[in-house]
Amino acid sequence: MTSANNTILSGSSITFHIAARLKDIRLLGLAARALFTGLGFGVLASYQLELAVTEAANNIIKYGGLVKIKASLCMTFSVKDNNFICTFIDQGTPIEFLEKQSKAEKRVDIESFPVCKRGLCIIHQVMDTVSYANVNGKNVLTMTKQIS
Amino acid sequence: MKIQTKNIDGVFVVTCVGSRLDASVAKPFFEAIQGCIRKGYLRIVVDLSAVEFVDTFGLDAINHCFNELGDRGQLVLCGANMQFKNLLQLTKMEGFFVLEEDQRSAVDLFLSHKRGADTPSPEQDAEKLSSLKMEKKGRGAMVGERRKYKRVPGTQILDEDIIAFCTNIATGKSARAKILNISPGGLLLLLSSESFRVDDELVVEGSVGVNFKFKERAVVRQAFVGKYGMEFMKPSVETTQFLHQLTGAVKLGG
Repeated sequence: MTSANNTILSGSSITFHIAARLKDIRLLGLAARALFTGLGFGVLASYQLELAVTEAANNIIKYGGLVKIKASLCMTFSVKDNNFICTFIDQGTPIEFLEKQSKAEKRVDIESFPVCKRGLCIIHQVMDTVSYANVNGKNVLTMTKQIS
Repeated sequence: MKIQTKNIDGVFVVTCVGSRLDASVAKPFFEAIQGCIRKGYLRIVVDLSAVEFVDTFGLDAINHCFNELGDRGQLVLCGANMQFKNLLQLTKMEGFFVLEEDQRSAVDLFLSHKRGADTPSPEQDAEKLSSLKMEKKGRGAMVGERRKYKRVPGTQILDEDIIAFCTNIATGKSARAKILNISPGGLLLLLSSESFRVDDELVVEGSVGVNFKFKERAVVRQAFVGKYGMEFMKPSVETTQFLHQLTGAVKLGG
């Protein structure tokens, strides 16, 4: 359970444009942590959310082939109706695991994955909802978490 | 990530200086420790007390360090924060690593085992780490049989960890373990340090690859900082045949 003192108005959002470099993801992670803390999430919850955001970004860059095509990644944080929404948009290769999980009724067993690929499973564990789709040639990953 | 290293009575202590062990530094972190292992440092403590954030890439790097050591040595983590322990829970890897509170207690774990009254000399200690040698317990034909077989490290069998579930026959206590190496004679497992004791008889159950599943009785022959050498007790024909094929049926010595 998370508890938060939300003083940020519904409808607020901020967008980050990130080059396909793993070293830049740590800046995104730090920014994400500041946002979650500001939204009132506790220390552990903020870590889990930062982890989910970081894992999503890492995996999109690594497995989405963004480095090869020298593309960038766009991420938007927004607050709406007491929910925090994080949306990633990229033009790389769709990530099969995320596509399958979005349609699956049952979540996969994390232990069936090697350690380096468990980050994608963590996203589903931490976030309330996760959706992934290819819209007009762009991959859109949307993660939401209730603030209170 | 920068690391600082020092040698304390033969225990190699690696202190992570940076606050994040993530995808951007995972590879150089692993390569730095791999270099230390290749220089012969086999008792390693990794101090994570300055590390605030670890992602699965960082965790995978630590796991690779552990696999690099294999059955030659041991790696102990210390100073892990609440977030790292939570990551281990989220990734179902609790019990995979030996965690100590701080550097001192991690080093002492190695040194106290070395200095204990009823522990072997350093030379015997080193032999135990690299061998599945049993203590002679007067079990007749079973004694020494494990050493006849070639062992295969788990990392050479699959790209992923090979997991086994061990249940103490006497107490019913069970634990999840990672198979470090295996042979027709027995296996070397990693579990949390206090799971079992020497001479405990267990049922060990697991699978290797897609098609082979095993469930065998084994007895703990040695235990050292989370690693357990176990001898199969009358393994089934199927298990023996599979492991013979896996290891090439090479017999060592007589």
